[in-house]
Amino acid sequence: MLINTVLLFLSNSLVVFIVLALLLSIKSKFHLSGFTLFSGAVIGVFLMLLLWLCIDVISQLFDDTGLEWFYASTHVLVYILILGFINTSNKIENTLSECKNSLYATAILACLIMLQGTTFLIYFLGYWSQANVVNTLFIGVVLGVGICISISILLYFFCLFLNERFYARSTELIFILFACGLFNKTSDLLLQIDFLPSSRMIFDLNFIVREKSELGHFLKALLGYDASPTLLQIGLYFTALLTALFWCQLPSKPWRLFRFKDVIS
Amino acid sequence: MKLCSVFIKKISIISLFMSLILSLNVWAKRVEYIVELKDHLFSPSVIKIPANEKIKLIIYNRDTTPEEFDSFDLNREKVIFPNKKAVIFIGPLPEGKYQFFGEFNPNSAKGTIVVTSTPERNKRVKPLQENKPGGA
Repeated sequence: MLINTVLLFLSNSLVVFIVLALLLSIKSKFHLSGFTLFSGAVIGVFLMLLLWLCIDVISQLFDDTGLEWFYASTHVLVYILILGFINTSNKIENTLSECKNSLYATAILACLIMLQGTTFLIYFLGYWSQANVVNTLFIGVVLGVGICISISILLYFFCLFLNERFYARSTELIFILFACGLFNKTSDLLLQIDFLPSSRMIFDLNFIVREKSELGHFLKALLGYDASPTLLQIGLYFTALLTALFWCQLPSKPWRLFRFKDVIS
Repeated sequence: MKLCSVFIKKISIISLFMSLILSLNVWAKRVEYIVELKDHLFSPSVIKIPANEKIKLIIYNRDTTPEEFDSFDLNREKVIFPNKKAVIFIGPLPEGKYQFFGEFNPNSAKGTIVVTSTPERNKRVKPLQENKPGGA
C-alpha cells in the first residue's frame, strides 16, 4: 500500500511539480510574481475538489466516455495556454502584457493541478475509510512530495544552467515539448473511446527506455514519452510541435555558443 | 485576402476528411466483452479476443472502492468508480498476451488479454442487465 501510494502520487503529481520548476526558472524573465504561482495553486486545488465532486457524473456522460472528452479538451486547452504564454512573453512591453502573462501562468498551473490531482484524490479519499491505511497514505504522500520536490529542484537548476550556458530560451523550448506531450495524451484518450481510428504501432522503444521504468515515467511526465506510438500519434505530435514552433517564433539569436566552448574547455 | 481564402479552403477540406474518418470510426459496431471487478479481483482474469479486431471492453466495478484500469501493454488507463461501469476500446492487436491491472490494487487486481487468431467465439458476452449498485 505504501509503495503503491508513492507510485500513484508520483505518476499523478510529477507533472505539476515539473511545471512549477519550469515556471520558476523563467519567473524573473517573464515578470511572474510569487503571488501568481500561489494563486494558480489555490485555484487548481479548488477546481480539483470541484471536479472530484462531479467526476462520477461526468464519467457517465456520452455513453461512459465523458471523462475522456473532458480530459482531452482540458489537455488541448492547456496546450493552447502554454503556447499563448510563451508567445505573449515574446512581446512583453507594458503592464498589460505582463498581466496577461500572469493570467496564462495561473491558468496553466490551475488546469494541471485539477487534471493531475483528481485521480490521486479519488484514490486517497476512496481508501481513506479503510482501517489501518490512513498512516500509510500519509507517509506515502510525504515520501511522494519529497521525491517530486527533489526532481523539480534538479530540473529547475538544469533549466537555469541551459538558459545561462547554451540557449537563453531553453526553458521555453522544454515547455513547448511538454505542451506537445500533453497534446499527445489527447490522442491516447480519444483512441481509448474509439473516436480516433487506431493503427498498428510504428516502433517499440521499450528496449531503450521502458515506459514502466522510473526514467520512462519521468520522460512521460516531461515530454509525453510513448515507447510504442502509432502513426497517428506521431503525426499529431509533430503537427503540435510544428504549430508550437511556428506560433511561438523562438529567436535564433540567444545561442550562447561561446559559453559552450568554455564549458567544453 | 486570396491567401486567406486558400487557407480556409484547405482547412475545410482537411476537417471534412477528418470528420469523415472519425464519423465512420464512431459508428462502427464493436463486439463487447464484459469483465467484473469484485474484491479487487478481475473476473474473468483472462480474456480471449480475436486478432486484428477492435473490441469494446466493459468493466463493472462491484467493489465499494474506486479502481483504475491500467495497462502499459495496451496503453489504456481509466478510473472505474464504485458500483459503476467503464468502457474501453482495445485493438486491433496482433497475436500475443497483454497484461492489465488495477492501479489502486496492483497486487490482487491483475489480468491478461490473450489475442488469438481463433478466439472462443461462444465466450463473447453481451450485456444482459444494467449495473445495479452493490449487486454482483
